[in-house]
Amino acid sequence: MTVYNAKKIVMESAPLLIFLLALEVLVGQLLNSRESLVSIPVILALIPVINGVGGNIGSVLGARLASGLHTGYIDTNLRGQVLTKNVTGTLILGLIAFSVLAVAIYAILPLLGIGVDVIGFGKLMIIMVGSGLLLTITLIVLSLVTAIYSFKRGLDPDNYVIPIVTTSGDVLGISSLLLLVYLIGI
Amino acid sequence: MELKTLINQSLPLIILCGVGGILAGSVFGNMTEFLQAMPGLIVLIPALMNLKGNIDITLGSRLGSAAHMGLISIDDIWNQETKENITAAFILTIFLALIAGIFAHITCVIFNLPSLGPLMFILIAVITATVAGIILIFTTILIIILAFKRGYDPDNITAPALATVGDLITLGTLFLITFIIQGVL
Repeated sequence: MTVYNAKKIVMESAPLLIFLLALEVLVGQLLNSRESLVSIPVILALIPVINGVGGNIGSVLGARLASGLHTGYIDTNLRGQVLTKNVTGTLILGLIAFSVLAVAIYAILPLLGIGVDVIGFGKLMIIMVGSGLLLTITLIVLSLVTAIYSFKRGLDPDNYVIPIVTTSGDVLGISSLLLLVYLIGI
Repeated sequence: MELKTLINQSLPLIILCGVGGILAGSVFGNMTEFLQAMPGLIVLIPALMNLKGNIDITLGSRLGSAAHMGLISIDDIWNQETKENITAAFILTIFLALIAGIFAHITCVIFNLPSLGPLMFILIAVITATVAGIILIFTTILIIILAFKRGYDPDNITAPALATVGDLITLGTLFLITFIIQGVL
């Protein structure tokens, strides 16, 4: 008898994945049709980067939380060094990754024919790191809640945390970017 | 120290993935001609990327947990635990691709966009997801093996590594399959 069972994994995963697929397609389409809100090319170019990197950082935390729960290194009371270290590590990862990528975007976009002068380096950095960290914090909370909740109910956190975190990354990434653009102004 | 290991192992791939995102945005911008020739494809793209990411990164995450629990190791990777996981990922891929095709059509109808029709959407989605799925499932195993060999924690690298190659492989396969189907029909 194996620990993993194909039928069980499919049964556990399918309903959530169908729901998230619908969410991704519908929200994506809604945001597409309101693209004029972020019609500035340099801001548009930030979207895939913020969504992708946010989803990645959340997924790394999610995978680590799931392994920690499976092996008993992390308990569901949210206490202990291992958990604190994981959350701190995720925040540091976000801070460094978004700062480095803000510099990369400033350097690469002009080569691809997208002007960055409309916004300037300072504002680009603040908007990128600000919305990136806002997204990272939101995804950390989502990751923790999903991992603990699914584990407590006897479900495998591996099947829930990553799909929820990556899809939320896509939906919430654009929202945090819009919020920062609104707060900072261009 | 665990914190330093996490950052050392994850950061390079996460930044690489971000740079990939910068480039993907501009490549996408240059495909407008192709996308105009196949109206509705633009709706299917986020659906397929979402499901590939969710299924394969989740597979990677489960195998990461399996490694931590001692169920798989470098000397014992093709065992029944891995096979159950791969089978599940494969069934989910085909089933969800079918649903993605249906959703793409419904979305086109709701938003009054030109649709390829439900059958064409399903055909493209299922073939693309199957081909990309096989490539990505083996990529996942390869990443786990590489992580074992280099002494990395699979949890630190499977998600960013798969996200980076996953989008590229899915998009590449989608364009190839659409191109072939266009030629055949």
